[in-house]
Parts: sequence; C-alpha cells; structure tokens
Amino acid sequence: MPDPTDLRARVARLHDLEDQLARAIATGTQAGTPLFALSHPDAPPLAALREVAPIEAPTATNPCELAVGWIPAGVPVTAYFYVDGKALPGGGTVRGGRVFVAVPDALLRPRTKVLAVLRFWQSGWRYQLWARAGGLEHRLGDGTDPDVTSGSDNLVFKEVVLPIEVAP
Amino acid sequence: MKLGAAALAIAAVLGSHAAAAAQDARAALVEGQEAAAPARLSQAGADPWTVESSAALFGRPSFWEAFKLTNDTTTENRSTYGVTASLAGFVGPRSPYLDGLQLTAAAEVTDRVGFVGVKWNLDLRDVRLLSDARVAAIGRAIDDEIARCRPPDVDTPELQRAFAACIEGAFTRRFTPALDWRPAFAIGAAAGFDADDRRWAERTATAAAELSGGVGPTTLAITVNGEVVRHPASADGPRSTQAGGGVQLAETFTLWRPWTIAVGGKVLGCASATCGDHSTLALVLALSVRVSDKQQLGTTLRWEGAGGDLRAAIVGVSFSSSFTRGK
Repeated sequence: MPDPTDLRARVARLHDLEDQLARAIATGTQAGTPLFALSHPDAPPLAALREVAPIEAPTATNPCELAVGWIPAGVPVTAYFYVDGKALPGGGTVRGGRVFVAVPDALLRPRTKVLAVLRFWQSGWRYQLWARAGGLEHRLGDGTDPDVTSGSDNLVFKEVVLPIEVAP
Repeated sequence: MKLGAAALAIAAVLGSHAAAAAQDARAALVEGQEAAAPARLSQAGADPWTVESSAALFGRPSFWEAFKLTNDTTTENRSTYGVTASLAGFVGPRSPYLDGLQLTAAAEVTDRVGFVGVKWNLDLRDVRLLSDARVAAIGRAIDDEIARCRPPDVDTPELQRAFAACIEGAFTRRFTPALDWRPAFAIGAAAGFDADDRRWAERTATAAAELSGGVGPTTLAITVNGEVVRHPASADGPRSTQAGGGVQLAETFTLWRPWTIAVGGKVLGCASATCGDHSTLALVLALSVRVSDKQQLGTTLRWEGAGGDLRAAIVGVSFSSSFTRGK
C-alpha cells in the first residue's frame, strides 16, 4: 500500500509537470524539461489515474530517446518513428499528451535521420518534438494544426536528424 | 414574496470533485466547477420550475451547461423536495472527458424540524465521452492496418505519400467518433444553519456534512467532505474516494438595486490520495443582477492556488442565466 502522503505529492508533481508541458507547447517555449521529466518511470504514479505510461521507458543503455509532447493532452495520437525505412519499437496510439521512444543502439550513428509520423485524432493540436542524447535535450521541431476546421490536415510527417555526434 | 439575497455558484460534480448548489439563502461558496447562479424561488406556493444555463470559461476544465431544469416544492413546514435534470459538457486539457457530455438527474430532500434542516441528495450522472478503452481498441485496429502499409522512407517522398494515403485509409475504415456512456454517481448529505434568519441554511453538497452560519450578509461554513464516485474516465477501474474539509467565508453586498456582489474565500484540505490537484485556496467574486422577477444573470471570477502554491493561479470565468416560470 503506497504511502498516501507520498502519493499525493507525486500526483501533484505529475499534474504540475503536465501543466508546465501544456503551457510550454501552447506558448511555443521550450518544453523539453517537463517533457522528459514525465518520461521517468515514476512520473505517472498510478496507471489507473491517467492510463498513460511511457511506451518504452528509457534505460541506462539507451543513449538516445525521442519524445513528442502535444496539446490538447486528451487527443489520441497515432505515432510512429522510422529509421532507414524501419519502424522503431514502441510506436502506436497514445493518449495523454506525450509519447517516448528509445532509439536502439544499433541505429545510432552521426547524422541519423528519423521520420516521425504523427496522426492526431482531432483538430486543434500543437506539438513539439524533442530528443535527449548524451544527457542533453534537443528540440527537433514543432508544429501547429494549420486549419482547426479541417480534419484532413491532422497527419504530420517530420524529418529530423538525431543529435548524435559520435557513434556509441 | 420574500426574495433572498443573490445566491452564488452552482457546481457540477466532476469525477472526484464535490458538487454543491446554491439555494436562495445567503451567498455561499462551492467547490468544483463554479458558475454564478441565480437565486431560486423556492417559496411555498411559487411555481417551482426553474431553467438555468451557464458556462465556465478559462477554467480547469471549462464547462458549459446547456440547461438545468429544477423543480423545487416547499411545504408548509419549509421542507423542500426537489429534482434536477441537466445537460453539460466539459472541455480542457485537465478535463477527465474529451469533449464529453454529461446528463445528470438529481433528487434532494430537505427536512426541517424547527431550526434544524438536513438535506440528502442523490446524483445520477451518465457521461458520454471517448473512453480510453475505445481509444485503445480503435488504436489496435489502426495499428494492425498500418503494419500492412509499406513503410515510408526519409529520402523517398513517393513512399511517404503512399504511406500517408495508407494511414488515412486505415483511419477512414477504423475510426468512429462514437462516444461511450459511462455512469457515475454521487450521494451526499448536508446540513447548515443561518444565524441571521435563525434557520438552518440549505446547502447541497455531494457527500458532505457542513455546518454553516451567517451574520447579516456574511456566511461562514465549515465543511467536511466525503465522496465515493465512480470516475467515468476509468469506468473499468476502481471507484475514487476522497475525504477532506475546510472553511469557507462569503459576504454579499447589495449595490445599486438590483445588482448584488458577493466576495468570498475558502481554504480546503484533502485527505485522500486521489485528491490530485484540488486547490487549497480559492477566491471568488460573483456579480449578479435580477433582470426581472423571472430572470437573473450572473458572472463569477475565480482564482485558485493549487496545492497550496499561491503562484499557481488559475483564473476561471463563468456566466449564467436563469429563467423562472411563474412568480
């Protein structure tokens, strides 16, 4: 049985981070810090509360992690990431405003290109795409729904280069 | 006919949040989703039907209430029997519902024995929302179809276009905007005392016990809350429970008739792990005007300090309009 006091603090911390993430995306400022703070395995303390969990939790051997944060957080997103024409493990449909995918070591080399495919289920979205490598956070891109009244522009293809300087 | 001072704030139960409804007594503060509420005519002999609509903007979450139909009947001994039906929607990043709708049916009874009034209420709600279970099921079906698409390549635009067409085809075939209904309920009891009128004031709350008193236009309420609600966003999961309490203070001023203004604050604590982001400090400013014997308009500004952090200000703005048939 988790300590209620600790649980309250963690839930409050979770909501605080979610608010920071949403505000950063809404205003276009850097969302990397709250985004990657939410990728920690302990960030969602109870799966039953929000039913959101990292698709693949980062490990000590994962030198590179991709992350997407979006608003509104309740909008489901079907997200896939491709390297050399192959889908990275961990893609799928997520709800909750953030998704995390670890890039396998075998695919890490300087100037690795990644194609992020995001299909938002509803209009009115904004997102930021980030990567964390070598302990540093890099903003790779962002986007806004060009026409909130149209349902035919909710598919995003984003080409980015991983911030890998030296192969691991 | 005696008309009470402007009443304040009708709240809707959202998941684990408590619900309250203002009566035609002194101004009082409420938790949860707030809107400036009109005074209800619940005098014996008055036509008991009242229709209200309200919307809360920039709140967390925002909500609109298309209609709230209330029927109150007051007996000779000032006991009140009432039923309520309403339709409301909720939007916002913190809303447990994504563009959800909520139907509410509530019944409340206030028994009076001399100066003592005890109110019991039962809220039954049905929430229509895009549930997580449906999202997961649709997502799996879409994933299965996408797995059969030829993967795109960064350096090949033709493959990207073909993949885009394949994804859109999968969505067209698999995504349905149908919403799911999830029942929710809350039960409650409340009691209060209005020292000015030497009567027990009425306060409707969901699973709350409350002692309230007033001197002149000032109302003081001490609240102990307990609630058991099946959270509609996770209907397959456990019920959420919470307990808490607090102190609320409100004062009503009559400006240039028929305008009135109410100012109040509250300090609340929550003793349950599921309280989440319940605010511990809130200030509310409500302004209302009785346009006629039958119609009243109101607006409310609300500031909250979440989790005791006074810097985390959340401003909510809400508007309401009510119409009462008869006199």
